[in-house]
Amino acid sequence: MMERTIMHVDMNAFFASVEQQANPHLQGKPVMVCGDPTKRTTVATASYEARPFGVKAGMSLYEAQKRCPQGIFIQGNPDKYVYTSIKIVSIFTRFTPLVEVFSIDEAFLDLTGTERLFGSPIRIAQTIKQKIRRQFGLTCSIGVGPNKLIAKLASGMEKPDGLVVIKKEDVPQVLEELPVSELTGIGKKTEEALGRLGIKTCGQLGRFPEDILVRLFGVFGRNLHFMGLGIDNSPVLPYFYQEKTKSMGHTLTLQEDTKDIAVIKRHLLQLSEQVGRRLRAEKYQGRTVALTLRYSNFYTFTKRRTIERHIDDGYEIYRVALSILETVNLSGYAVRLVGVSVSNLIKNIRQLSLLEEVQKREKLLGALDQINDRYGEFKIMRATLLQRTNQAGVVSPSWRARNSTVP
Amino acid sequence: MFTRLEERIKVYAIFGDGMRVKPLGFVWAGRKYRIEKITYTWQTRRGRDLVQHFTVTDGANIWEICYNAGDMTWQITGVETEG
Repeated sequence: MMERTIMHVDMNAFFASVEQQANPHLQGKPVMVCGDPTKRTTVATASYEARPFGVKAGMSLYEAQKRCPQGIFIQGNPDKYVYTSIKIVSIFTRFTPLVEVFSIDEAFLDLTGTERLFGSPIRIAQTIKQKIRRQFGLTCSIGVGPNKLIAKLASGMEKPDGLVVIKKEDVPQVLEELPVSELTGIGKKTEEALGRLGIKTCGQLGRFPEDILVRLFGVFGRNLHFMGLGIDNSPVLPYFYQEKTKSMGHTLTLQEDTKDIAVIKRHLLQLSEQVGRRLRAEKYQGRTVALTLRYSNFYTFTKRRTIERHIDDGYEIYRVALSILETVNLSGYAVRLVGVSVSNLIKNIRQLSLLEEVQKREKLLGALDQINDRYGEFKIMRATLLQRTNQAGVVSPSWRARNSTVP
Repeated sequence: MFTRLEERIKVYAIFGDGMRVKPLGFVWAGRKYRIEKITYTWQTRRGRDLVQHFTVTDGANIWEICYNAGDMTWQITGVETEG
Protein backbone atom coordinates (compact mmCIF):
# COMPACT_ATOMS: atom_id res chain seq x y z
CA MET A 1 0.00 0.00 0.00
CA MET A 2 1.26 3.46 -0.93
CA GLU A 3 2.47 5.48 2.04
CA ARG A 4 0.07 8.33 2.77
CA THR A 5 1.09 11.98 2.67
CA ILE A 6 -1.23 14.20 4.65
CA MET A 7 -0.91 17.96 5.00
CA HIS A 8 -2.55 20.13 7.66
CA VAL A 9 -2.85 23.86 7.00
CA ASP A 10 -3.65 26.15 9.90
CA MET A 11 -4.17 29.85 9.24
CA ASN A 12 -2.34 31.97 11.82
CA ALA A 13 -4.64 34.06 14.05
CA PHE A 14 -6.98 34.04 11.06
CA PHE A 15 -9.66 36.68 11.84
CA ALA A 16 -7.16 39.06 13.47
CA SER A 17 -4.69 38.66 10.58
CA VAL A 18 -7.43 39.45 8.04
CA GLU A 19 -8.28 42.63 9.97
CA GLN A 20 -4.60 43.61 10.22
CA GLN A 21 -4.22 43.06 6.51
CA ALA A 22 -7.30 45.14 5.70
CA ASN A 23 -6.29 47.95 8.05
CA PRO A 24 -2.54 48.72 8.00
CA HIS A 25 -2.97 50.83 11.17
CA LEU A 26 -3.56 47.58 13.07
CA GLN A 27 -0.37 45.85 11.95
CA GLY A 28 2.05 45.09 14.78
CA LYS A 29 -0.58 45.91 17.41
CA PRO A 30 -2.49 43.66 19.83
CA VAL A 31 -5.78 43.12 17.99
CA MET A 32 -8.71 41.08 19.24
CA VAL A 33 -11.62 40.15 17.02
CA CYS A 34 -14.90 39.75 18.89
CA GLY A 35 -18.64 40.39 18.53
CA ASP A 36 -19.96 43.91 19.12
CA PRO A 37 -17.42 45.33 21.64
CA THR A 38 -20.14 47.55 23.14
CA LYS A 39 -22.20 44.47 24.05
CA ARG A 40 -21.55 41.22 25.87
CA THR A 41 -19.15 39.21 23.75
CA THR A 42 -16.07 37.01 23.75
CA VAL A 43 -12.75 37.08 21.92
CA ALA A 44 -12.88 35.00 18.72
CA THR A 45 -9.22 35.45 17.76
CA ALA A 46 -6.32 37.35 19.28
CA SER A 47 -3.41 38.50 17.13
CA TYR A 48 0.08 37.23 17.94
CA GLU A 49 0.86 40.64 19.48
CA ALA A 50 -1.99 40.13 21.99
CA ARG A 51 -1.08 36.59 23.00
CA PRO A 52 1.87 37.42 25.29
CA PHE A 53 -0.70 39.22 27.50
CA GLY A 54 -2.50 35.93 28.02
CA VAL A 55 -5.46 36.76 25.80
CA LYS A 56 -7.03 33.66 24.27
CA ALA A 57 -9.98 32.81 22.04
CA GLY A 58 -13.15 32.30 24.07
CA MET A 59 -12.12 34.77 26.80
CA SER A 60 -14.72 37.34 27.83
CA LEU A 61 -14.16 40.88 26.61
CA TYR A 62 -13.93 42.06 30.22
CA GLU A 63 -11.14 39.59 31.01
CA ALA A 64 -9.30 40.41 27.75
CA GLN A 65 -9.47 44.16 28.46
CA LYS A 66 -8.12 43.55 31.96
CA ARG A 67 -5.17 41.53 30.64
CA CYS A 68 -4.43 43.77 27.68
CA PRO A 69 -5.69 47.33 28.32
CA GLN A 70 -3.92 48.65 25.23
CA GLY A 71 -5.60 46.00 23.05
CA ILE A 72 -7.67 47.02 20.04
CA PHE A 73 -11.06 45.31 19.90
CA ILE A 74 -12.57 44.89 16.45
CA GLN A 75 -16.06 43.70 15.68
CA GLY A 76 -15.67 40.66 13.44
CA ASN A 77 -16.96 40.60 9.87
CA PRO A 78 -18.04 36.98 9.22
CA ASP A 79 -18.65 37.61 5.50
CA LYS A 80 -15.03 38.64 5.04
CA TYR A 81 -13.66 35.56 6.81
CA VAL A 82 -16.02 33.12 5.09
CA TYR A 83 -15.14 34.54 1.65
CA THR A 84 -11.41 34.38 2.41
CA SER A 85 -11.72 30.83 3.73
CA ILE A 86 -13.57 29.67 0.59
CA LYS A 87 -10.91 31.24 -1.63
CA ILE A 88 -8.11 29.62 0.37
CA VAL A 89 -9.83 26.22 0.10
CA SER A 90 -9.99 26.74 -3.67
CA ILE A 91 -6.18 27.13 -3.64
CA PHE A 92 -5.90 23.73 -1.89
CA THR A 93 -8.16 22.02 -4.41
CA ARG A 94 -5.71 22.90 -7.20
CA PHE A 95 -3.41 20.26 -5.70
CA THR A 96 -5.87 17.56 -4.61
CA PRO A 97 -9.62 17.00 -4.61
CA LEU A 98 -9.26 15.36 -1.19
CA VAL A 99 -9.52 18.44 1.03
CA GLU A 100 -11.23 18.15 4.38
CA VAL A 101 -12.20 21.56 5.73
CA PHE A 102 -11.78 21.02 9.44
CA SER A 103 -12.92 24.52 10.45
CA ILE A 104 -12.94 28.03 8.98
CA ASP A 105 -9.15 28.30 9.40
CA GLU A 106 -7.92 24.69 9.19
CA ALA A 107 -7.91 22.00 6.53
CA PHE A 108 -6.40 18.60 5.81
CA LEU A 109 -5.15 17.72 2.32
CA ASP A 110 -4.46 14.17 1.18
CA LEU A 111 -1.48 14.56 -1.14
CA THR A 112 -0.85 10.85 -1.58
CA GLY A 113 0.26 10.23 -5.16
CA THR A 114 0.44 13.89 -6.20
CA GLU A 115 4.25 14.14 -6.11
CA ARG A 116 4.68 13.47 -9.86
CA LEU A 117 2.22 16.22 -10.69
CA PHE A 118 3.18 18.94 -8.25
CA GLY A 119 6.50 17.97 -6.68
CA SER A 120 7.34 17.12 -3.10
CA PRO A 121 4.99 17.98 -0.20
CA ILE A 122 7.51 20.65 0.86
CA ARG A 123 7.30 22.25 -2.56
CA ILE A 124 3.48 22.11 -2.49
CA ALA A 125 3.50 23.63 1.02
CA GLN A 126 5.76 26.46 -0.12
CA THR A 127 3.56 27.13 -3.16
CA ILE A 128 0.41 27.18 -1.01
CA LYS A 129 2.05 29.57 1.47
CA GLN A 130 3.18 31.82 -1.38
CA LYS A 131 -0.26 31.90 -3.03
CA ILE A 132 -2.05 32.67 0.26
CA ARG A 133 0.45 35.39 1.09
CA ARG A 134 0.30 36.93 -2.38
CA GLN A 135 -3.50 36.84 -2.63
CA PHE A 136 -4.42 37.80 0.94
CA GLY A 137 -1.21 38.84 2.72
CA LEU A 138 -1.88 36.09 5.29
CA THR A 139 0.43 33.47 6.77
CA CYS A 140 -0.27 29.88 7.71
CA SER A 141 1.50 27.04 9.48
CA ILE A 142 1.73 23.80 7.56
CA GLY A 143 2.40 20.33 8.89
CA VAL A 144 3.08 17.24 6.78
CA GLY A 145 2.94 13.70 8.10
CA PRO A 146 1.89 10.12 7.33
CA ASN A 147 -1.61 10.72 8.78
CA LYS A 148 -3.95 13.46 10.06
CA LEU A 149 -2.85 13.12 13.68
CA ILE A 150 0.82 13.66 12.89
CA ALA A 151 0.19 16.35 10.25
CA LYS A 152 -1.83 18.39 12.76
CA LEU A 153 0.83 17.89 15.41
CA ALA A 154 3.46 19.10 12.93
CA SER A 155 1.54 22.26 11.95
CA GLY A 156 1.35 23.25 15.62
CA MET A 157 5.11 22.94 16.13
CA GLU A 158 6.11 26.17 14.39
CA LYS A 159 3.84 29.18 14.63
CA PRO A 160 3.39 31.53 12.95
CA ASP A 161 4.32 30.80 9.34
CA GLY A 162 5.91 27.40 10.04
CA LEU A 163 6.50 24.37 7.86
CA VAL A 164 7.26 21.09 9.63
CA VAL A 165 7.52 17.67 8.02
CA ILE A 166 7.45 14.55 10.20
CA LYS A 167 8.45 11.43 8.29
CA LYS A 168 6.90 8.08 9.19
CA GLU A 169 10.21 6.72 10.46
CA ASP A 170 10.67 9.75 12.76
CA VAL A 171 7.24 9.46 14.43
CA PRO A 172 8.33 7.28 17.43
CA GLN A 173 11.20 9.65 18.22
CA VAL A 174 8.96 12.75 17.99
CA LEU A 175 6.30 11.20 20.22
CA GLU A 176 8.59 9.67 22.86
CA GLU A 177 8.87 12.73 25.13
CA LEU A 178 5.86 14.65 23.80
CA PRO A 179 3.20 15.44 26.47
CA VAL A 180 -0.08 13.64 25.67
CA SER A 181 -1.93 16.98 25.83
CA GLU A 182 -0.20 18.01 22.57
CA LEU A 183 -2.25 15.47 20.62
CA THR A 184 -5.57 16.54 19.14
CA GLY A 185 -8.40 14.71 20.87
CA ILE A 186 -6.78 14.58 24.29
CA GLY A 187 -8.44 17.22 26.44
CA LYS A 188 -7.81 18.25 30.00
CA LYS A 189 -9.98 15.50 31.56
CA THR A 190 -8.36 12.70 29.52
CA GLU A 191 -4.93 14.14 30.29
CA GLU A 192 -5.74 14.03 34.03
CA ALA A 193 -7.13 10.51 33.79
CA LEU A 194 -3.99 9.35 31.94
CA GLY A 195 -1.84 11.17 34.49
CA ARG A 196 -3.43 9.09 37.26
CA LEU A 197 -2.18 6.02 35.38
CA GLY A 198 1.31 7.50 35.30
CA ILE A 199 1.05 8.36 31.60
CA LYS A 200 2.47 11.78 30.82
CA THR A 201 4.04 11.33 27.40
CA CYS A 202 2.91 9.83 24.11
CA GLY A 203 5.74 7.30 24.37
CA GLN A 204 4.31 6.06 27.68
CA LEU A 205 0.81 6.03 26.20
CA GLY A 206 1.90 3.87 23.26
CA ARG A 207 3.56 1.32 25.56
CA PHE A 208 0.68 1.16 28.05
CA PRO A 209 -1.36 -2.08 27.77
CA GLU A 210 -4.18 -1.52 25.30
CA ASP A 211 -6.63 -3.78 27.18
CA ILE A 212 -6.40 -1.63 30.33
CA LEU A 213 -7.03 1.54 28.31
CA VAL A 214 -10.10 -0.11 26.70
CA ARG A 215 -11.37 -1.24 30.11
CA LEU A 216 -11.05 2.29 31.49
CA PHE A 217 -12.02 4.43 28.46
CA GLY A 218 -14.16 2.08 26.35
CA VAL A 219 -13.76 2.34 22.56
CA PHE A 220 -11.79 5.58 23.01
CA GLY A 221 -9.16 3.56 24.91
CA ARG A 222 -8.24 1.76 21.69
CA ASN A 223 -7.95 5.12 19.92
CA LEU A 224 -5.73 6.40 22.73
CA HIS A 225 -3.43 3.41 22.32
CA PHE A 226 -3.04 4.08 18.59
CA MET A 227 -2.62 7.82 19.19
CA GLY A 228 0.28 7.04 21.52
CA LEU A 229 1.87 5.08 18.66
CA GLY A 230 1.18 7.88 16.16
CA ILE A 231 -1.21 5.69 14.16
CA ASP A 232 -4.30 7.28 12.63
CA ASN A 233 -6.05 5.58 9.72
CA SER A 234 -8.92 8.08 9.46
CA PRO A 235 -9.36 9.29 5.88
CA VAL A 236 -9.32 12.89 4.67
CA LEU A 237 -13.00 13.44 4.01
CA PRO A 238 -13.96 16.13 1.48
CA TYR A 239 -17.45 17.58 1.92
CA PHE A 240 -18.90 15.35 -0.81
CA TYR A 241 -17.98 12.22 1.21
CA GLN A 242 -19.14 13.52 4.54
CA GLU A 243 -22.19 12.26 6.37
CA LYS A 244 -25.57 13.50 5.31
CA THR A 245 -26.99 16.45 7.18
CA LYS A 246 -28.69 15.15 10.31
CA SER A 247 -30.11 18.38 11.65
CA MET A 248 -30.27 22.09 10.92
CA GLY A 249 -30.39 24.73 13.59
CA HIS A 250 -29.49 28.19 14.78
CA THR A 251 -28.64 29.58 18.20
CA LEU A 252 -28.50 33.14 19.39
CA THR A 253 -26.79 34.55 22.47
CA LEU A 254 -29.04 37.40 23.60
CA GLN A 255 -27.51 40.84 23.95
CA GLU A 256 -28.63 40.80 27.58
CA ASP A 257 -30.13 38.10 29.78
CA THR A 258 -33.91 38.30 29.85
CA LYS A 259 -36.89 36.94 31.75
CA ASP A 260 -39.31 38.64 29.35
CA ILE A 261 -41.26 35.83 27.69
CA ALA A 262 -42.27 38.09 24.77
CA VAL A 263 -38.60 38.73 23.96
CA ILE A 264 -37.80 35.02 24.16
CA LYS A 265 -40.74 34.21 21.87
CA ARG A 266 -39.60 36.80 19.33
CA HIS A 267 -36.12 35.27 19.23
CA LEU A 268 -37.71 31.82 18.87
CA LEU A 269 -39.72 33.02 15.88
CA GLN A 270 -36.66 34.60 14.25
CA LEU A 271 -34.58 31.45 14.71
CA SER A 272 -37.44 29.22 13.51
CA GLU A 273 -37.87 31.33 10.37
CA GLN A 274 -34.10 31.11 9.70
CA VAL A 275 -34.15 27.32 10.15
CA GLY A 276 -37.19 27.05 7.86
CA ARG A 277 -35.42 29.11 5.17
CA ARG A 278 -32.37 26.84 5.30
CA LEU A 279 -34.48 23.67 5.21
CA ARG A 280 -36.43 24.86 2.16
CA ALA A 281 -33.29 26.14 0.40
CA GLU A 282 -31.71 22.68 0.65
CA LYS A 283 -35.02 20.87 0.06
CA TYR A 284 -35.17 19.26 3.51
CA GLN A 285 -38.12 18.70 5.82
CA GLY A 286 -37.91 17.55 9.42
CA ARG A 287 -40.14 15.98 12.04
CA THR A 288 -38.29 16.64 15.31
CA VAL A 289 -37.96 20.15 16.68
CA ALA A 290 -35.48 20.88 19.48
CA LEU A 291 -35.42 23.92 21.72
CA THR A 292 -32.19 24.83 23.52
CA LEU A 293 -32.06 27.32 26.38
CA ARG A 294 -29.13 28.54 28.40
CA TYR A 295 -29.75 30.34 31.66
CA SER A 296 -27.65 33.19 32.99
CA ASN A 297 -25.82 30.69 35.25
CA PHE A 298 -24.78 28.83 32.03
CA TYR A 299 -27.03 25.84 32.79
CA THR A 300 -27.95 24.63 29.29
CA PHE A 301 -30.52 22.09 28.22
CA THR A 302 -32.30 20.88 25.09
CA LYS A 303 -35.84 19.54 24.85
CA ARG A 304 -37.25 17.85 21.75
CA ARG A 305 -40.68 17.12 20.33
CA THR A 306 -41.41 14.83 17.40
CA ILE A 307 -44.54 15.50 15.40
CA GLU A 308 -46.40 13.28 12.94
CA ARG A 309 -45.45 14.95 9.68
CA HIS A 310 -42.37 16.54 8.19
CA ILE A 311 -42.30 20.34 8.09
CA ASP A 312 -40.18 23.14 6.65
CA ASP A 313 -42.33 26.18 7.43
CA GLY A 314 -40.67 28.52 9.95
CA TYR A 315 -43.97 29.34 11.60
CA GLU A 316 -44.84 25.66 12.10
CA ILE A 317 -41.37 25.08 13.56
CA TYR A 318 -41.99 28.05 15.84
CA ARG A 319 -45.32 26.61 17.04
CA VAL A 320 -43.68 23.30 17.97
CA ALA A 321 -40.78 25.14 19.68
CA LEU A 322 -43.32 27.24 21.55
CA SER A 323 -45.18 24.14 22.73
CA ILE A 324 -41.84 22.90 24.14
CA LEU A 325 -41.19 26.27 25.78
CA GLU A 326 -44.56 26.04 27.53
CA THR A 327 -43.35 22.89 29.34
CA VAL A 328 -40.32 24.74 30.74
CA ASN A 329 -40.62 26.46 34.10
CA LEU A 330 -38.88 29.77 33.48
CA SER A 331 -39.82 31.44 36.75
CA GLY A 332 -36.76 32.90 38.40
CA TYR A 333 -34.38 32.22 35.52
CA ALA A 334 -33.01 34.75 33.07
CA VAL A 335 -32.29 33.32 29.61
CA ARG A 336 -28.90 33.93 27.98
CA LEU A 337 -29.10 31.83 24.81
CA VAL A 338 -31.91 30.45 22.66
CA GLY A 339 -31.56 27.76 19.99
CA VAL A 340 -33.90 26.00 17.59
CA SER A 341 -33.06 23.00 15.46
CA VAL A 342 -34.90 20.49 13.30
CA SER A 343 -33.82 16.87 12.88
CA ASN A 344 -35.31 13.59 11.61
CA LEU A 345 -34.79 14.99 8.13
CA ILE A 346 -35.89 13.78 4.71
CA LYS A 347 -34.71 15.30 1.44
CA ASN A 348 -36.44 15.95 -1.88
CA ILE A 349 -39.72 14.42 -0.74
CA ARG A 350 -42.74 16.66 -0.65
CA GLN A 351 -46.22 15.34 0.00
CA LEU A 352 -48.73 17.18 -2.14
CA SER A 353 -51.58 18.32 0.06
CA LEU A 354 -55.20 18.14 -1.00
CA LEU A 355 -56.17 20.83 1.49
CA GLU A 356 -56.61 24.20 -0.16
CA GLU A 357 -55.37 26.02 2.93
CA VAL A 358 -52.07 24.10 2.92
CA GLN A 359 -51.63 24.64 -0.84
CA LYS A 360 -52.13 28.40 -0.34
CA ARG A 361 -49.60 28.44 2.50
CA GLU A 362 -47.01 26.61 0.37
CA LYS A 363 -47.52 29.10 -2.47
CA LEU A 364 -47.14 31.98 -0.06
CA LEU A 365 -43.93 30.52 1.36
CA GLY A 366 -42.58 30.02 -2.16
CA ALA A 367 -43.33 33.66 -3.00
CA LEU A 368 -41.71 34.90 0.23
CA ASP A 369 -38.61 32.79 -0.49
CA GLN A 370 -38.37 34.18 -4.01
CA ILE A 371 -38.51 37.77 -2.72
CA ASN A 372 -35.89 37.11 -0.03
CA ASP A 373 -33.70 35.22 -2.51
CA ARG A 374 -33.86 38.18 -4.85
CA TYR A 375 -33.47 41.07 -2.38
CA GLY A 376 -31.75 39.49 0.66
CA GLU A 377 -32.72 37.87 3.97
CA PHE A 378 -35.57 39.36 6.01
CA LYS A 379 -36.54 41.79 3.24
CA ILE A 380 -40.08 40.48 3.71
CA MET A 381 -41.05 39.06 7.08
CA ARG A 382 -43.61 38.91 9.83
CA ALA A 383 -44.14 42.30 11.46
CA THR A 384 -43.08 40.80 14.82
CA LEU A 385 -39.60 40.37 13.39
CA LEU A 386 -39.18 44.07 12.59
CA GLN A 387 -37.69 44.22 16.09
CA ARG A 388 -35.48 41.23 15.45
CA THR A 389 -31.90 40.97 16.60
CA ASN A 390 -29.57 41.85 13.79
CA GLN A 391 -26.26 41.02 15.37
CA ALA A 392 -23.52 39.88 13.03
CA GLY A 393 -21.88 37.76 15.73
CA VAL A 394 -18.77 35.76 14.95
CA VAL A 395 -18.43 32.77 12.65
CA SER A 396 -18.61 29.52 14.57
CA PRO A 397 -15.20 27.81 14.62
CA SER A 398 -16.95 24.69 13.34
CA TRP A 399 -18.04 26.43 10.14
CA ARG A 400 -16.83 24.55 7.06
CA ALA A 401 -16.59 25.64 3.46
CA ARG A 402 -18.54 23.20 1.29
CA ASN A 403 -17.46 24.48 -2.07
CA SER A 404 -15.68 27.38 -3.67
CA THR A 405 -18.64 29.58 -4.55
CA VAL A 406 -19.26 32.98 -3.06
CA PRO A 407 -21.63 32.75 -0.06
CA MET B 1 -12.73 53.48 15.97
CA PHE B 2 -14.56 52.21 12.93
CA THR B 3 -17.77 54.02 12.09
CA ARG B 4 -20.39 52.17 10.06
CA LEU B 5 -22.06 54.12 7.28
CA GLU B 6 -24.49 53.35 4.52
CA GLU B 7 -24.32 56.13 1.97
CA ARG B 8 -24.36 56.17 -1.81
CA ILE B 9 -21.15 57.63 -3.25
CA LYS B 10 -19.70 58.45 -6.65
CA VAL B 11 -16.67 56.36 -7.55
CA TYR B 12 -14.30 56.47 -10.48
CA ALA B 13 -13.14 52.97 -11.29
CA ILE B 14 -11.68 50.72 -13.95
CA PHE B 15 -13.91 47.85 -15.08
CA GLY B 16 -12.03 44.87 -16.48
CA ASP B 17 -13.04 41.37 -17.56
CA GLY B 18 -15.96 39.80 -15.76
CA MET B 19 -16.33 41.06 -12.21
CA ARG B 20 -12.95 42.81 -12.12
CA VAL B 21 -13.44 46.27 -10.73
CA LYS B 22 -10.73 48.58 -9.45
CA PRO B 23 -11.87 51.73 -7.69
CA LEU B 24 -9.42 54.61 -8.11
CA GLY B 25 -11.11 57.30 -6.07
CA PHE B 26 -14.45 58.51 -4.76
CA VAL B 27 -16.43 61.58 -3.89
CA TRP B 28 -18.02 61.65 -0.48
CA ALA B 29 -19.60 64.55 1.39
CA GLY B 30 -18.49 66.93 -1.35
CA ARG B 31 -14.83 65.91 -1.07
CA LYS B 32 -12.75 63.94 -3.49
CA TYR B 33 -10.51 61.13 -2.16
CA ARG B 34 -7.84 59.37 -4.20
CA ILE B 35 -7.44 55.68 -3.40
CA GLU B 36 -3.79 54.97 -2.78
CA LYS B 37 -4.17 51.25 -2.08
CA ILE B 38 -6.84 48.58 -1.97
CA THR B 39 -5.89 46.67 1.18
CA TYR B 40 -8.53 43.92 1.10
CA THR B 41 -11.41 42.71 -1.03
CA TRP B 42 -14.22 40.21 -0.51
CA GLN B 43 -17.61 39.41 -1.96
CA THR B 44 -21.07 38.85 -0.54
CA ARG B 45 -24.54 38.34 -1.91
CA ARG B 46 -27.35 40.76 -1.26
CA GLY B 47 -30.23 38.62 -2.37
CA ARG B 48 -29.40 37.74 -5.97
CA ASP B 49 -26.91 40.58 -6.39
CA LEU B 50 -23.19 40.07 -6.08
CA VAL B 51 -21.57 42.75 -3.96
CA GLN B 52 -17.83 43.42 -4.17
CA HIS B 53 -16.37 44.94 -1.00
CA PHE B 54 -13.11 46.89 -0.82
CA THR B 55 -11.10 48.18 2.10
CA VAL B 56 -9.16 51.13 0.74
CA THR B 57 -6.81 53.80 2.02
CA ASP B 58 -5.99 57.29 0.87
CA GLY B 59 -2.76 57.11 2.84
CA ALA B 60 -4.22 58.38 6.11
CA ASN B 61 -7.74 57.00 6.44
CA ILE B 62 -9.19 53.54 6.00
CA TRP B 63 -12.51 53.19 4.22
CA GLU B 64 -14.85 50.38 3.32
CA ILE B 65 -16.72 50.80 0.08
CA CYS B 66 -18.75 48.34 -1.96
CA TYR B 67 -20.06 47.90 -5.48
CA ASN B 68 -23.40 46.21 -6.05
CA ALA B 69 -23.15 44.57 -9.47
CA GLY B 70 -26.94 44.09 -9.57
CA ASP B 71 -27.98 47.72 -9.48
CA MET B 72 -24.52 49.09 -10.36
CA THR B 73 -24.32 51.34 -7.32
CA TRP B 74 -21.46 52.22 -4.99
CA GLN B 75 -21.79 52.71 -1.26
CA ILE B 76 -19.48 53.76 1.51
CA THR B 77 -20.01 51.33 4.38
CA GLY B 78 -17.41 52.38 6.94
CA VAL B 79 -14.57 54.71 7.80
CA GLU B 80 -11.77 54.65 10.32
CA THR B 81 -9.56 57.65 10.82
CA GLU B 82 -6.02 57.45 12.10
CA GLY B 83 -5.65 57.57 15.89
